[in-house]
Amino acid sequence: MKWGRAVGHFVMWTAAVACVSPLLSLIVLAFSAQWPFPHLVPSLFTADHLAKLLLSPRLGEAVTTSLELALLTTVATLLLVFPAAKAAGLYSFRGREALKLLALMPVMVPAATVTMGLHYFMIRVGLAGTMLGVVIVHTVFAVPYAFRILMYVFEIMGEQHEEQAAMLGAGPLMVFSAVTLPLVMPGMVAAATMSFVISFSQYITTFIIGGGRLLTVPLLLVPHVQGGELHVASVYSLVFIFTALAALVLLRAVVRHYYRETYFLNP
Amino acid sequence: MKAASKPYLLAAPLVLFLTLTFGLSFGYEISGLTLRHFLAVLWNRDFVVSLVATLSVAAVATLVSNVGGAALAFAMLKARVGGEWVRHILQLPVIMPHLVVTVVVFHIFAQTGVLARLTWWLGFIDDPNQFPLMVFDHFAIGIMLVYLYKQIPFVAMVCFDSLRGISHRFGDVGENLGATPWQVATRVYLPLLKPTLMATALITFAFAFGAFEVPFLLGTPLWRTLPVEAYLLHINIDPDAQARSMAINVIISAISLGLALVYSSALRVVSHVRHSDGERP
Repeated sequence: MKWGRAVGHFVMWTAAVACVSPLLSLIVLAFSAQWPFPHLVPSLFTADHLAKLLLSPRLGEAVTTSLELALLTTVATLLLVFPAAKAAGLYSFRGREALKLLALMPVMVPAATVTMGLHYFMIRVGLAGTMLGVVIVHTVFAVPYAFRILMYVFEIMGEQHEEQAAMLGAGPLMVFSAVTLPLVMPGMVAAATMSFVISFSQYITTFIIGGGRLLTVPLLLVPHVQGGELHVASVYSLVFIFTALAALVLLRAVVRHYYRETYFLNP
Repeated sequence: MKAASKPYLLAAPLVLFLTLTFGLSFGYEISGLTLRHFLAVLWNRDFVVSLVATLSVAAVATLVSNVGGAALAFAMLKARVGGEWVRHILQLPVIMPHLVVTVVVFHIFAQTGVLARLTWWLGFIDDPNQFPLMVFDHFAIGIMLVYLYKQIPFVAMVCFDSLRGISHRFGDVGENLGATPWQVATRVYLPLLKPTLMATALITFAFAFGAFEVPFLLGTPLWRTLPVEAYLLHINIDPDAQARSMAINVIISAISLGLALVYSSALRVVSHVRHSDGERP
C-alpha cells in the first residue's frame, strides 16, 4: 500500500517536471546571447534582442491583429453556441445526438482540409484576405469546445430555475439577464477562454484565408522556426504565451467585476 | 408554454453555420473532380506512403498518449493527492500552443539541442552528428514528442476527473478481496474508464491525424502527412496539382467522417451496456 503511494508520487513528480521544463528552457533561450554547442547554459545572457523584438512595429501589428481576431471569434462563437448548447443541454428532442455529432465535426475534420475548401468559396465572394473571412474560419474550430462546456453547464443547471422565475412573473428578458446568464456565467467564461485560446493559436487557417494580408503572432513565429532561428522564435513564443495569459486574466477580471462572486454557480 | 419547436429554433443558427461552412468547403472540393482524379491520386506511390505514414503516426501517438495518460491518472489516484498544484501543472501543456511546443522540441531534441549537450557532457558522444536524429527524422519522433507532451496530460486530467467521480470504494473492495494493484487497475478501474478513454482516444487520434503545423515544421523530407501534402498541392499554381489537392482533401474528410460515425455508434453501445449494468440489483 505504502509502496504503491511512493510509486504514484514518483510518476507524478516526473510528469510535473516534464510539463514545466519546456517553458523554463524557452525562457533561458530567450535571454541567451551566446550559446555554442557543448555548453549546457548560455555563456552570455542579454535582454537586448528581447527588447529589440518587443519594440518592433511588426510585433505590435501582429499582437493587435491577433487580439482583434480572438475577441471577434470569442463573441461570434458564444452567440452561435449559447442557444444551441442550451437546446442540447436542457431539452430532449429528435436529432439531439445528431446536433452533438455535428458540433463535434470541426474536431474530427482537419482544419487545413476545411480551410482549403472554404478558400475557393471565399475567393469567389471576396471574403479571402478579410478579417471577417478569418473570423468565420476561426469560429468553426472554436465551436466544439465552447459547445461541450456550455452544454454540460446547462445540463447541471436544469430547467427549474428558469421556470420558477417565469412562474413568479419575470419576462423572457428578465429571466435571461437575472437567472440564466448569472447561472451559466462560469461556463461562459470557460467557453470564452477556450474560444480565445483557439483563435489565438491558429496558424494555417489564418495563413490560407488571410492570404498574407493579416499578420498574427503565429504567422510571425513560423518563418523563424523554419529558418532555425530559435532565439527569435523563443521570444515570439513567450510573447505568444504571455499575451494570451494577460488577455485571459483581464477577461476573467472584467466578468468577475460585473457578476459578483456570490452569483457564481458552485459546482 | 414550451413549444416543441423551441430546441430546433435554438439550435438553428449553429446548425446553419456549420452545415454552410462544411458544405461549401466540401462542395467546392468535390465539384469539378471526376473519378479520374481520385484514381490518379490513389495510384500515386507518394499518396499511399503519406496515407500509411499519417495513420501510423496518429495511431502510435494515440496509443502512447492514452496508455501514458491513464497510467498517470492511476498514479495520481494512488498518490492520493487531488491537489490543485498538480492540476495547474498538468494544465500547462494543454494550454501551450503546439507551435510553441514545436519550438521547444527543436531546442531540446535537435542534434545541437539540450539533450545532445547533456549526452556530450556525460561522454556518450563527441560530436553533435553522433546524436540520433529526432527532428526531421523518418520515424516522426519529433512530431510524436509534440503530440505526447500535449496529449498525455490532457488524457490524464480527463481520466483523473472521471476516476475521482468513481470514488475509491471499488478499488478498496477489490483490494480487500485480495486483488493486486495491477488487477485493481486493469480489472476494476480500466473497464470503468472505457467510455472516457474512447472519447480521449478519438480526440487525440483526430488531432494527430489532422494536425498541420507540427508535421509541416518537424517532418522529414522523405514523406509528408496528408494535410501537408494537400496544402503543398493547394498552393501549387498547376491546375492539375490543385485537383489532386482537392481529391486528397475529400479522402481526408471521408476518413474523418468514418471515424466520427464509428465513434458515435461505439458510444451508443457502451452507454447502452452501462445503463443495463446500472439496473442490476
